[in-house]
Amino acid sequence: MEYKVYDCKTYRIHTIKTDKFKNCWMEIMFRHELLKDEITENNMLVDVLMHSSKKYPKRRDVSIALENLYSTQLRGLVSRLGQSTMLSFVTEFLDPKYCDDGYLKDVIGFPFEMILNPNVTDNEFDNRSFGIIKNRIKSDIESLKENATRYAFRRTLQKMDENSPSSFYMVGYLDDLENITPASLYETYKNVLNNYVCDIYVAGNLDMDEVVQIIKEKFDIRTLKQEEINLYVSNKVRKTNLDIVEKGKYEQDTFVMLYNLVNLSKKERDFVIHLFNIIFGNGGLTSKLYKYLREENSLCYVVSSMYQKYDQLLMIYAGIDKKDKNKCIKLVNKALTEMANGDFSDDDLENAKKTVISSIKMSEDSLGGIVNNYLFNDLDDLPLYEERIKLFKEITKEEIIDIAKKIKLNVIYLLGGEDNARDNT
Amino acid sequence: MQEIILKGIDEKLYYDKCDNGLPVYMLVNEKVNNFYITLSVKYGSIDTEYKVKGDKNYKKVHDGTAHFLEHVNFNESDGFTAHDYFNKLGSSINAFTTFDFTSYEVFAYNEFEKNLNHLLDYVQTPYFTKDLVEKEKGIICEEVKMGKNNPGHKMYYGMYKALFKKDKRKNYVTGDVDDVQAITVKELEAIFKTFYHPANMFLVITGNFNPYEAIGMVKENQAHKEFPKYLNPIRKRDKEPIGVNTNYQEIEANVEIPKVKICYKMAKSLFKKYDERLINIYLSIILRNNFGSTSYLREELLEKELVVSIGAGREIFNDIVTLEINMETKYPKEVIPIVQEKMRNLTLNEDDLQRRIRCNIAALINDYDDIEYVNSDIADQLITYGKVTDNMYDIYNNLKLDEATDIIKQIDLNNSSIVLLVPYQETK
Repeated sequence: MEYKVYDCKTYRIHTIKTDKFKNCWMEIMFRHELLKDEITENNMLVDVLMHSSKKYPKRRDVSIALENLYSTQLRGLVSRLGQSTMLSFVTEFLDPKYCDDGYLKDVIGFPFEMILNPNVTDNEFDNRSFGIIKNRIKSDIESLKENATRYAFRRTLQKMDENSPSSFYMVGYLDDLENITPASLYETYKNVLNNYVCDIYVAGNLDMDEVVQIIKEKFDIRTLKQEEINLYVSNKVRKTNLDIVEKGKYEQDTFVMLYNLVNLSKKERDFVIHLFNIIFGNGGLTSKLYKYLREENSLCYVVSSMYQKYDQLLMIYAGIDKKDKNKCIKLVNKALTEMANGDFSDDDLENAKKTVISSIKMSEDSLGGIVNNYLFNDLDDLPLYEERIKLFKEITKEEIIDIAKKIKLNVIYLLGGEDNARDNT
Repeated sequence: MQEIILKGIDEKLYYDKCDNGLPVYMLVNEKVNNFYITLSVKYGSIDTEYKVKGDKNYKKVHDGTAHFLEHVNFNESDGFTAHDYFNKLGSSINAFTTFDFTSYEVFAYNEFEKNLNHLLDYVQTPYFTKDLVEKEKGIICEEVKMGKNNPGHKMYYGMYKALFKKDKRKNYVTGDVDDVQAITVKELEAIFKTFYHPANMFLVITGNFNPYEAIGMVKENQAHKEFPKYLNPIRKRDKEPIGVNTNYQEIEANVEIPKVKICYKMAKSLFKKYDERLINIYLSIILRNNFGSTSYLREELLEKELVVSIGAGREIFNDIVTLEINMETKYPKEVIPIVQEKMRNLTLNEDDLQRRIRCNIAALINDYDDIEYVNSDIADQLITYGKVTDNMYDIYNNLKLDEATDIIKQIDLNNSSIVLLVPYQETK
């Protein structure tokens, strides 16, 4: 695997040459500080750009062109990394050795054609594409409650602090959506190209000098910025935790406990907490939470604890029956106390390390994983795979015990089913 | 050991069979770190009635027995499960149950032999106690409720209930809460004894490993175990009539925007000129062309804001073919007749067909990068067709417009169900 960075003045191209796959990956990323009132408009923008362009005025034209490029997959997405946001455009395409001459140039050029020559007339996006996307995003926002777990997470974070970027709803907000026009969207478009930081990652078995040449020709842009963006959100700690119960029409009740991670060092954030969490609640079917809630007390089918690195939060959730809420709280507390008391074996720690190493090895088997390896090294100085494995191996039991003392409860939340939720299938 | 060349795509499938009847399929990818092993049992949720030689009547077990068995089969002794063993290796394991089969899987990057042996050992060694079975009931009931929380799940079973009169696909794979509560150790033991026989299983290994060493290990492992003679159980399959159960049904669910399924049910024999795989490929291409992202209809419905999304699919169950169109729409009354009209006028031209062939071939080449995908594709082929096709590349290249047109002509739209998922009505 060979990694290179090409500095193109206003953006950088990162190339990762590997012959591991028959598929290739290009990801064009635009990053910026996350602003709540830009979320909805950014979502609209990414979808509208992927929907049509000057050259391909309807979605159908785009789909046909992509299918002709040997079923190339192109998608845009907006994500949040702590207090920053990322608009990314991913192109997955077949190794050119299986394709016609000229394919590489066409396939690399395709997303740039979509992004740089949008379906815009008189400084306004095409009304038809605009309407379709607006309708879809509206439906996405409205259907939040269909997924009980997602809805419970969202409510928990809002209760924690609705001004924290950690609680922002990345699908968007209805009020903001109503105010977006084809003209305002074009302003947003220009804002992204003028103020965002851009990186392009290309991975696969490709002649990277040729790829870089093609990108430079297609993406001749001088307005982008190159600046550091802080990722980490510092969420406030609460002296006494909140305890909230809400209702919805669900068959199963969703239980959440949200914790702040206070003053973790870089080593703790990158390494120790992962091992802690595997033993505590995220180690699949052998963690303490799994054992106590599911195996010993049959309280749930799903239970897990999720580490939200850039928010410095730990979120436990389980699908339970609401009458068992207090029992669940007790068992979670028991597991956490045991962690703080060092009540886990050396074997548990060794097994957790093996689990982490396995997941790193797994991630090395996918192009998306390989791109993330270099991306997070670049954004957050996260060591690369081999170094990461080495450092994980060095973590001690004492370090895990120390971190257990830096976990502070913020919110207990229960999304309870109403008694009239029916199953009438 | 047989080496089966998968023509046109540079891949080779290894096949062998153990003396006790266990078939083994292997596909190597030396460029990846990991290997993925699945041991599947041809016993699924619809196999609730069966008999063996000498039985007068069919024996019956509760709905959800296959899935329940999958859960408790992880127990190896009191207080020790397969999870504990594989956790020490750093491997990840899982299992799932479908209508047709149950599959146990392990994913890892080292200790190939230990992973392989232990997968075979724990799946093939039962340990069911009353306490373990009782304990599992609460867990599975929460799993059932989790499914019911999901509108997609409600729609899925709503459709099968509307379409099928006899077919057991209308029942939850997990069983309902009452079924789960009623399942007994005895039932589980009987099913294990009857169906968990090597001759009724198959092993699929994909990823980075040596196939010659692997087959040696499997044979050695199996040679040390004793199994009674396989009784070749007969699974009761009631003949499913072509008529549907309900033409129209509304189901209340936790949705904001109604979801609609329009389903058609027809006899597979309408397409008897073509083998099942070909029927599947042609129907998929036809539906995609008329309702997918390159269709005029989809473009039009989106532009008029009549739908939020639309897609289509097809399935073949024994003698029945089903076609389904799925939509999210606030205007079901307006959209349903438009879709029905389109179904009466399905089209495909030569350009469309050639483009789809190119896409299918690109996907065929691509998919072999993913050892999980390849593994489950092999398993699905074995369940659906009883064998792995070695000439997909040629099959795609030989697709013909006149055959596709003929398939369109044979489609029978006389038996259909419409299922609507609608928001809960306020009960004030």
